[in-house]
Amino acid sequence: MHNKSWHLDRRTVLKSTGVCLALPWLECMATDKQAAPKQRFFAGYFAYGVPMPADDAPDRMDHGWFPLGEGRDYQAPAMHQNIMPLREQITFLSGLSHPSMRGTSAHKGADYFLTGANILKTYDKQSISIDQHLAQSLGKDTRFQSLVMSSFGGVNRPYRSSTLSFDRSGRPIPAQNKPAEIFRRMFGAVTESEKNALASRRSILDDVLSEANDLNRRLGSSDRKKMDEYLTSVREVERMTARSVQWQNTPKPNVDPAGLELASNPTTPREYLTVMYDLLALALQTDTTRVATFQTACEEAGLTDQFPSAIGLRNSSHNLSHEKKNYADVASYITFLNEMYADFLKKLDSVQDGDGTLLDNTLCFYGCATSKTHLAVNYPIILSGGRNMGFKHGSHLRYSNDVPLSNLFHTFANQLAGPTEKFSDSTSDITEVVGS
Amino acid sequence: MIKPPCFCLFAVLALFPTIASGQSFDTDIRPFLTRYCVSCHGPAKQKADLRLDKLDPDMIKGSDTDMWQEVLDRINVSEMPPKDASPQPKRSERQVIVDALTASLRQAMEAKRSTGGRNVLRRLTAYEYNNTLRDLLGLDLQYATDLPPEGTAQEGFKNNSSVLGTSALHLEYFERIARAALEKILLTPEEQPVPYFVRVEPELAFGVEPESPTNTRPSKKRNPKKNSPTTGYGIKGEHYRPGSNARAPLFQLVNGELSGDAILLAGNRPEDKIGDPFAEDRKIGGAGGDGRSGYQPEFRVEMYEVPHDVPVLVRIQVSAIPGKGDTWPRLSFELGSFRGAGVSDQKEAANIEISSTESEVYEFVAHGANFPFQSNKPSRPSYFRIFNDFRRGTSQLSYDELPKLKIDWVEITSNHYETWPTPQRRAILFDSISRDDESIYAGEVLASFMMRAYRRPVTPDEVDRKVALFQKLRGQETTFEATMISTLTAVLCSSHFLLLSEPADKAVDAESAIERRRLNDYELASRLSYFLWSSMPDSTLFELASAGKLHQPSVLLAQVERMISDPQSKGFSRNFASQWLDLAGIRRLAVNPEYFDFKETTKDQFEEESIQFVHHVMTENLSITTFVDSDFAVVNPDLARHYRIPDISGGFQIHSLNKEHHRGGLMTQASMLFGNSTGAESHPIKRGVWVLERLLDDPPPPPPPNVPDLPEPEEKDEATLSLKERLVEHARVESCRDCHSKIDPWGVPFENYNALGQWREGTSDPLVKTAHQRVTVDPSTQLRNGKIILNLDDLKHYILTDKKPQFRRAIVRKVMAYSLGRYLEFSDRTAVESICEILENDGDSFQTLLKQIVLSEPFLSK
Repeated sequence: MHNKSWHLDRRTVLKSTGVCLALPWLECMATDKQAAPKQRFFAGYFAYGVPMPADDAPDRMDHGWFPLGEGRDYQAPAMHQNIMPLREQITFLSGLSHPSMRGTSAHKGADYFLTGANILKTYDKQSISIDQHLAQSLGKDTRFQSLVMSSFGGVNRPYRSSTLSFDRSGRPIPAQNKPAEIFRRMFGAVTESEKNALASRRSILDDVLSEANDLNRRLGSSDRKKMDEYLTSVREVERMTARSVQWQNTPKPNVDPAGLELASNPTTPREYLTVMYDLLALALQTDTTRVATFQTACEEAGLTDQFPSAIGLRNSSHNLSHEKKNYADVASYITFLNEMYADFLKKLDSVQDGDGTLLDNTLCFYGCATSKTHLAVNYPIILSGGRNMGFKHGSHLRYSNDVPLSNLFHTFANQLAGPTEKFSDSTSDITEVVGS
Repeated sequence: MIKPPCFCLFAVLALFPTIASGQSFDTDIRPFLTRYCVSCHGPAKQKADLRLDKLDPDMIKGSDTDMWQEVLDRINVSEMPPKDASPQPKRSERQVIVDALTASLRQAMEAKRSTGGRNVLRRLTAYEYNNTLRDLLGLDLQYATDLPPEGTAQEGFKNNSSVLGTSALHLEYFERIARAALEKILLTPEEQPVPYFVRVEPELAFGVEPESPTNTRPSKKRNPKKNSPTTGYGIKGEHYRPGSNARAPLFQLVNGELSGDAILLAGNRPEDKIGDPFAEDRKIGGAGGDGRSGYQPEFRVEMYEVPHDVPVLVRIQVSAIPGKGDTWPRLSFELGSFRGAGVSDQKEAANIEISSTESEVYEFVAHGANFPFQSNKPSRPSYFRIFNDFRRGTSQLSYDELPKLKIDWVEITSNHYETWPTPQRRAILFDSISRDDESIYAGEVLASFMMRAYRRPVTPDEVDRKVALFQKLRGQETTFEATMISTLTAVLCSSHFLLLSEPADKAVDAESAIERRRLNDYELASRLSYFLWSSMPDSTLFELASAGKLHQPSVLLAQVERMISDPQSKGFSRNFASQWLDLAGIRRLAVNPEYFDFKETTKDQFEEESIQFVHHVMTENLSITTFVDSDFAVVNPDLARHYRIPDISGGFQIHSLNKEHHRGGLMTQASMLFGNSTGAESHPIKRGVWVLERLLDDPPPPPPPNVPDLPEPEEKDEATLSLKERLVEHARVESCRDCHSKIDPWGVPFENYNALGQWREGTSDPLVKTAHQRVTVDPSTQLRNGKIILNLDDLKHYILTDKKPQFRRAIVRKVMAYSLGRYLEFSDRTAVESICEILENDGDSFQTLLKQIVLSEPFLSK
């Protein structure tokens, strides 16, 4: 008989997500397949940097982001209070950044946060993001290869990206921002119409692809560049279709939407971020996907710039980030974001998964591509989870400002996707985050 | 006389963006670097590993463009040369290099995004896709709501090819949307569904004996109902078959009058105060938050288990009882449903003025899917409700003087199909003698559908390919219709449908340059229709293309006129105005409740005002100068109250203005004034940037990094300063002054308008809550060229005189970029200049502008 210990305990599920999983059916409960350890990756992003009062300032521990002290004996400022119960499962990193973009003017962070590409001059060198790189191997056995989310949705435009994820050709992958649609794609009942659609989709795609190839031959070079997006997308949908066919006889996880505010949108930030994080937790927990990204806000004027209204602040998050003296407001705003994120980690931590918790099997990378007031060095980063993939936590690791963040991504790739030569502009890997 | 030389240079470069990089480098950049920089960043020393003498001066082709940006940023904020270095550059010297570098870097940016002045194929935008499906399928539904949100190009347009990416997620949705729409049309039962029918005649519904059945205009005063709703049952349709448990509809009359055999509805309830025309006289919010729910007289039909995702026919017999001053009632009705106790969703389906005292029958067809017409629980009804949308507004009409809507009867038919099968189905699966031979018939169906979907004639090969697909799928599908749904889904996922491509006739070598060529008539038809309608060409355009006549200038001009007068031209007004004027800014901002009591739905009116204004300028062929100043406004009573314009009642209409209203043109509209505020205070910088970007096409350079976009109070006593005063302080900082002297003076003249765009003057703003009323309104300023501007009227005058050529060119460039779906480039300059010239000689009329763009070489060619 199979060892039951890693099977999901229904009660754990119920109390942990605050969301009902109505039926006991979950893929990991039902299957008797070889229980290969599941490796998961999440990357999250917040906008506009963090407050950085000087080390000797009286409000250093009240309003700062970065911990005081290094190694295991660091002191975390007040804004991290909510995450500190997980102290042994998180690592603060400081000093890291992407070298090619250190001289950038602000607001482009989401474009290169996970790619490390040099897009300072042109966008041509945009390259694959770490999540998509990992998804090539981690994403093979799930219904969706990855889940790309942002509060803004879509891709917006170059240098004001509203997605963190970029494909092999460096093309942005549109982010989903509507909770109801995210829920439908992952957990919605498969309708008759969708079954029909799947049966004929491959023939349809063959047809439109060969038609598009004919059209492509009649186009000049700049048209072909644009046409390439269409052609690549069709091929990508073909791959997705093949995957869907594999999965068509496996029922989707039965998740009761009752506890989820699927109708919420960024005008009510607290409700919106809660449901988005809940959907992420559910996606990972039900093994619908093992790779996910979430850009909580776009560095562009828009609804997400009003997120501080969640805690009663009238200032936009952009304006808050420019505060140079009185950090109280911006600190309470970042505290709010940190709380939302900490709640997400705690959810993952409370779900049994294999020989550990869901958090142990999910490497979570969270941060921003600027430190104080749009300075593109010394990214504020919290790494957590992934213990079953060899990551160890409990410290504040301080690096000098010339260490490439891609070195950390290189380590991610080594641990999750197997030995890797390099990722983006990495010069080495970062060994301090792994070990037992 | 000393002119600031740099400013002239800047202006010249902005106007003629090309070449000159080399020259300006030698005259304006290199001398500064040599004198002040290379001693530390040169052959002798390379501080920060930087050698400026080795940087490639070619910012367009060279590889050091970013480093130049860095150099500019450092000089711009006076970080370099360091304060302790000597010699220090003079302010004017600094200005010369800053302007020259800024201009060169802008050229580099334009070169980077250049398509050689040619149109590149582009995907339909989400809104174009929606409209195209609507017109192609003849079914007006909201198709595009689930598509990923579109990005916005740098200058604000969403139809710019460079931001219209296509992704797997897009295709997934395109397939899903197409299939769902085709299923709705083609997967219909043999038998026509039984209609759900309700007819209400007031005397039956409410059991009131008409006093005098022949008297069609009974006393207006009789029996005004107050807050107690009257309930009754009317005539039920045949769907209430014996044994059916269907619950009968309920009729509710709230605050209305019963008069004889008719219902009388006034726009305002009887007890509303009329003393203060600017006070909100109704409950704010209400069920729909629309400000009228709850207290405005209404008649409502509540229906249980009504088919909701189907066409609904509403027939109403009404007449008007005119009010004082030749005012007439407006018939408005909504479809909606109750979400919970006292909570409902609804959407207006019609809003028309009734200007006949004779009873007439009005018919409306709406599709239930476009309305929140589906109740979420069987016990909660869906409903129809009818109002008189004539609002007293800021006029002082008493209840007796208000025009009334007199309703004789109402009929609601859900599952309304005039013919069965539906016209949408018959348009795809038309009658044919080959109908019995599936493969021949499939070919006919596909050929006809594809021609419209691809917006051009299709070749037999193209049809054969789809017939082959049909046959391949036929085996796995159960019916002809199901197979056709899949095949037509392929048509709607085709690159020929989703992309506007304008390909060559035959295969080309992608490496060699494609010759510039004139568009063929079908390509032209699409450019025209996506420009003026945001949708596919109609049959007239197709016929003219088929006859090979469309490209003839006289035909083109006649078509532009026809298309402008067609209601579809709202597609231009809505999309162009929203993108050009950045109307989305309204949604980005929250109104600060510490400053204002504000009804969120008023934001809809802000947006609508600007769209209607642009539409009015277009359809009435007014001068483009109207955008700067006008002697009329397009407002409704809500906006009139917001703007404090008295004597405005009725609906959204054109109203002439007096000087004391302080309105006229786009710059006094709340969309601009509020959209460029902080939500609490006015924001001269944002407003200035808006004027420069949107009206003068002279966007200021982006702020250097690490500079706050808003001056923060630096000293304690500054906290009490107004924003304008803080600006003055800010401009004292040398590093800020140069840039802001280009921007701020364009925003200061708007100081007479508070954050919500309401007029204020002197030392207080009584429209703001008490704690924030103290302001010092001073709209006077001095432009960088020395011109003194006293107030907004002065600024408008300045734009329409000295700046008129620049303003004209800006409007031409904006409309042209939108019409082409790309950034304008140097090669478009000739076309732009010649259009400007024609416009100038033709009174600057807006239709002339549209026509000249359509006749221009860039528009006519690929």
